[in-house]
Amino acid sequence: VTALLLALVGLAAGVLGALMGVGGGVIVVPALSAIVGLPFRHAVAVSLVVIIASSSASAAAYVGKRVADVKVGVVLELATVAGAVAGSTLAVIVPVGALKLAFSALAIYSAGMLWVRRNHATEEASAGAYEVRRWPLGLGASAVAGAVSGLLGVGGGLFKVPAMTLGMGLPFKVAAATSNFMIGVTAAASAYVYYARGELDVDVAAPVVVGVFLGARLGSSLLVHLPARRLQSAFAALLLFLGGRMAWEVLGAIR
Amino acid sequence: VFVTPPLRLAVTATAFYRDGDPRHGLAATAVLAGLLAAAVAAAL
Repeated sequence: VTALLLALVGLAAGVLGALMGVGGGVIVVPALSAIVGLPFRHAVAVSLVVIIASSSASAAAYVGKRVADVKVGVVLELATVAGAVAGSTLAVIVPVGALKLAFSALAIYSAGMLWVRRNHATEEASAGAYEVRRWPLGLGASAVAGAVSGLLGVGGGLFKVPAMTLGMGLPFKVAAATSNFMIGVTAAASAYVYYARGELDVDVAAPVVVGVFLGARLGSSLLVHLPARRLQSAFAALLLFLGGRMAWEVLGAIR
Repeated sequence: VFVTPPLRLAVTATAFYRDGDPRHGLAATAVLAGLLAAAVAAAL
């Protein structure tokens, strides 16, 4: 029963990840704590493996359908890797609470901007049919995503998708697909570290990964059919929820 | 699962070089090198 529940959690994470360009860790980490009482760091380790699985399953579909912009993805990933190295180094200097507050402020701002601009969302879902602009902004956001990934063990899609959509001019569906292509690589670097430390519980990860593969394949087939305006609004709501929850946690801990 | 990200990058880099796009091929190769370095550092 537990394995089936874990597979269902993976299925939900896979669908969400494929549609939004995030890894699904936002579902996996709290669910694992609730279902099997996994400690936070062990849950993050499973979450990183889930991000890789989600990325692998959906990226294969998106690259094949030419929805993901691989050229933009590999260039931004350079900044992400540099950011991840810097993040790992900074982890001992910068207080995690300050980083979480900065993350929540940025998430809430991005949610507002995505919501305001939701009516401008285009249904375009093929890579290259637009002009890519503001590379420095995209590279900067990718570096921040990498640093946060190194510090908090997430894929960084929550930074990449708004930067590509709001800053660089990529249509939402292309940004989500490109983010999916990238986050598996970003998460892999951190996942190796968790695995080497012995914090990855393979018995828990296996059923979740099976669910994620199925969910990501389902989500990637749905993306091109769902209206971009709805997807962008849903992503804004997700950002608002996560940003608000993180700010609440940090401010609650201070009080 | 652990092998797919570096494999994906290797395939991407090869495809860029084959299609006559060495700049993006180099970018994919550099990301692959960074990822492999992270894996080696974790193993050590």
